Amino acid sequence: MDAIIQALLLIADPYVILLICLSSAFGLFVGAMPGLTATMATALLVPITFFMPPLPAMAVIVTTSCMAIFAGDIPGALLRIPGTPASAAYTNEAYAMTVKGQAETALGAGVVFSAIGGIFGTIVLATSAPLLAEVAIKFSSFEYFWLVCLGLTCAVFIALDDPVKGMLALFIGLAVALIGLENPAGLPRFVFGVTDLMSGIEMIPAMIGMFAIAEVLRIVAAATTRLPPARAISGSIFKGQWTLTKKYPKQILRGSTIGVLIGALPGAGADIASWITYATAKKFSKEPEKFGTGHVEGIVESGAANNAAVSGAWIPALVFGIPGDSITAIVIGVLYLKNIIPGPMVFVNQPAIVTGIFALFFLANLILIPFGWLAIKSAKHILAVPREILMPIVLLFCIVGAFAVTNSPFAIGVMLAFGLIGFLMEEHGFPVAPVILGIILGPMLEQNFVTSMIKSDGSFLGFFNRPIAAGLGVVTLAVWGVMLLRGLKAIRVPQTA
Amino acid sequence: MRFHDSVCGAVLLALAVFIFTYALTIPPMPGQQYGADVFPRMVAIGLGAFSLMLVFRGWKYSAPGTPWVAIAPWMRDPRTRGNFILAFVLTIAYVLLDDIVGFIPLGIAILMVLFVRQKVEWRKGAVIAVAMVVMTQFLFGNLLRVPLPRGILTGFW
Amino acid sequence: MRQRFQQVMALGLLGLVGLASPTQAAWPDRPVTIIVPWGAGGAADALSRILAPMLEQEFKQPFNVVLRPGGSGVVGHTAIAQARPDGYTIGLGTVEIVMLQHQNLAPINHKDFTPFAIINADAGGLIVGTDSPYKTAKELIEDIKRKPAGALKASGTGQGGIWHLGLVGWLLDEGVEPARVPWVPSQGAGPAMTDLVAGGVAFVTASLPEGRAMIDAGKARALANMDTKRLALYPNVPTLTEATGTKWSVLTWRGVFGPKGIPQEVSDRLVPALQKAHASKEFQDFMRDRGFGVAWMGPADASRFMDKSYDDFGRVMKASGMIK
Repeated sequence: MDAIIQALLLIADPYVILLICLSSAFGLFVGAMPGLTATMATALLVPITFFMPPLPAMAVIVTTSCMAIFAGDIPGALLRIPGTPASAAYTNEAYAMTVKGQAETALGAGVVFSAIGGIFGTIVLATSAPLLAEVAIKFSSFEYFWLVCLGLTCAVFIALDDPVKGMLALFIGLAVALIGLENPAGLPRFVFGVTDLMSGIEMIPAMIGMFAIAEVLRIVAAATTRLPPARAISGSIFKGQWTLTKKYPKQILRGSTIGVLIGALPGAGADIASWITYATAKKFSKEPEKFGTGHVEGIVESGAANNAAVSGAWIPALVFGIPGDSITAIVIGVLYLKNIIPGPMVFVNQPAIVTGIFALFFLANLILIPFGWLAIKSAKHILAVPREILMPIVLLFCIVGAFAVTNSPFAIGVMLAFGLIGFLMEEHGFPVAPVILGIILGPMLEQNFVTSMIKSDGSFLGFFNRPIAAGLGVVTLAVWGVMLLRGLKAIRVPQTA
Repeated sequence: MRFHDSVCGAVLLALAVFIFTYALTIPPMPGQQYGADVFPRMVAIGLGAFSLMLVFRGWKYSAPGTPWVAIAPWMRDPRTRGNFILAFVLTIAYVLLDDIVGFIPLGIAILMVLFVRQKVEWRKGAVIAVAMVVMTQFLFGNLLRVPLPRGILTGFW
Repeated sequence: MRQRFQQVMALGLLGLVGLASPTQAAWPDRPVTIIVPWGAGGAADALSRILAPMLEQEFKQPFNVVLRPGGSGVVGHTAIAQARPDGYTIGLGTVEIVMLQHQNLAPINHKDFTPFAIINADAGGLIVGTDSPYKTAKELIEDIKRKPAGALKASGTGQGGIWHLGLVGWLLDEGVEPARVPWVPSQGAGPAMTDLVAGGVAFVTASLPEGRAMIDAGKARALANMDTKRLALYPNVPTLTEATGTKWSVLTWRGVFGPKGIPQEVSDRLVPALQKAHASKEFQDFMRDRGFGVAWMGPADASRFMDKSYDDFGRVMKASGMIK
């Protein structure tokens, strides 16, 4: 109870409220700009949050990410270009509605059901995380080892149709994590005499590189940078949304539930949640033939799902320090900078921060409705900001942002290198998210593996001696088995063109 | 540029071999059986195994006629190729020159070059470039105390 | 219209950044980083948490605590020693400063640092989980002697760290071959306590204040204190000498350090600030509440103390067979 009051007091600060409003505007703008993703919005904010106390920093990230995920729907409906990958699943559907003259309903559904999904996700986060933390306190290195393995595997398993390239991306990330001193023996490895490499590859410049620089490179290398003009929204976007809520309660619940679960799985976030729930909406629909022709049902379900996934991703991030998606991967980095180590002890030592994050999610999803309305009303102008002016500015911010984390130009080099790696990987059909996951979880995997081997005197049986460890181990091995089968099948039926 | 899957696989395989051989040179942790060399070897084995799979898959099952190196459309068009190289070169130039030239002149130069390249009207571009750089200097350099190098402007404020 | 949106965006960013922090002249005129070489929940972490806000208040600049655990303190201590000596990166150094070179873990010793002050000293302890069968240190040592080698494992810090030395010294004094109790290296006392509670190791030899969060939460039990006298914090916990008759005792210490070559100007401002913080009621109360031992040595005293300590540890570690 104390924690709740303390958390509310922290948020009721005018400074925090102002930050929330500014980050809402920022998140909506970035989310609505095609090519700028929610992850990139978060990555660009890190250097700024560096100078804030923990809770305001979290406020900025939570609000920005919630707003950006919703705002991705706007250009999807108006221009048939998703603003963020999380809106890609139903972009065609929303655009078809616009063509039919129902842009107001499509975007209104986006706002309302994003908010509902987000609030559902927050409730699940707020109730399940503390319970999970109670269990997690009993976890030793064996359990963590399996948990990390499982998380890394899931990232590859659900995210991709090409598991081989997914695994390779993951191993590239793990290989990057080998660099530096951060290993159980504290020996400098793979540093080649470069002092800047002693502390390892800094995570934040690497992430700015992979998510922002790679995107900038992709846009400057694209044939056209100009967007077609968008039409203005004149009618009421909230008209008819209550009818939709009454018509599709099952879809909303299913979308939110699947969204939160997929968000909680490491490595998979809002984009995958919306693809899967768009598919489930179609599969269980009474009128599947209407999908693709401007039918709102799929938008209701996956619109709820992608925002639910944003909160869901925080569950493993807070409880185990394992990121649920690429946004929480950045969040973990920020928490470490703030001397808050995600894990079960956070719930004991800093309950106000945890409660504060829950409250922030509620707030962000509530104010999504008025702010979303504003964004939709001004969509025409947001989309008119020319990308040929925006992209160089984003590049400049990336440079300053990477520099600010360590105050060294070396970080800018790291950022550029990872930008190029990210760009090349996407060109060759490799996903980039597993690389980031590998970089973050590599040291955790190594630490827990080596400690466990020492504890079990080098016997692998030790990894199955404790009941929870054994359970997690069996599940992990089962997933590996399935993946192996799928991998062999993928060899026979290659997806690559 | 798009390389054949087998080529990608081979490059990653070489990386795996390098990591493995490097790991052999890491001394063990004094007094323990498992030290800093164990994990790199595991990573190398995993990386190697999956890159072999990629080499094999690319060699055996790629669509017939897939070239070893395909030139992507953006590389063929001199304009997009130029854009790409420019963004890259400008960032490297920043890393090399920031201490000497300083953030403000270099930042303005980078923005101006990119704006002109993208056919933004130059007067408008110049106004935006100067405004953005001065604002960034003020926010990060002055308010947040990020030591953005002052370079040739050292001593002016 | 277009311009207006750029203005809105620019204003937005302006606002976001502008709200972050005010500033002043001289050292420190920008945020200072305090590197802590140990994991969250340990004593070094706790000390930095209390000191940072006090220094912030004194200097009106953020003092950001950055935890850099790993490799028996090698990672963080190396990071401090190799930081640019401009006063903007300092660290919370621990007894390992004079041990790392002996252990062949890192080519650094106290000569690579600028000492500002040593502020605390604590004795080792003996802690087990609540569901452990051992109620006293005597039962524990007897079981170590009776059970096969390797049956009981201990943790508390990195390989060859101070609490590892505490264990080895105790075992030798009891006439037990140290290899009978394998050491599980951890990223500090905090993670070791977490692992103890999770049942990962049989006992932990960290100091009692470091184990306090878990002991007071009823998840762990203190068996002994490796000091010459009982702790005010746990007057009911016997010293190891009372419990088993051994003469072994071991101390760790912590202080604020910078890399070698810090300008005198920085020391002149920082040392008095530390002394002021150290003398404050807030700090003293915090130390008493947490059960941490208070100590104070200024730069000159700390230097002399570390010179002696460095030689002593070399001798003890050689005698115990931990190093050759």
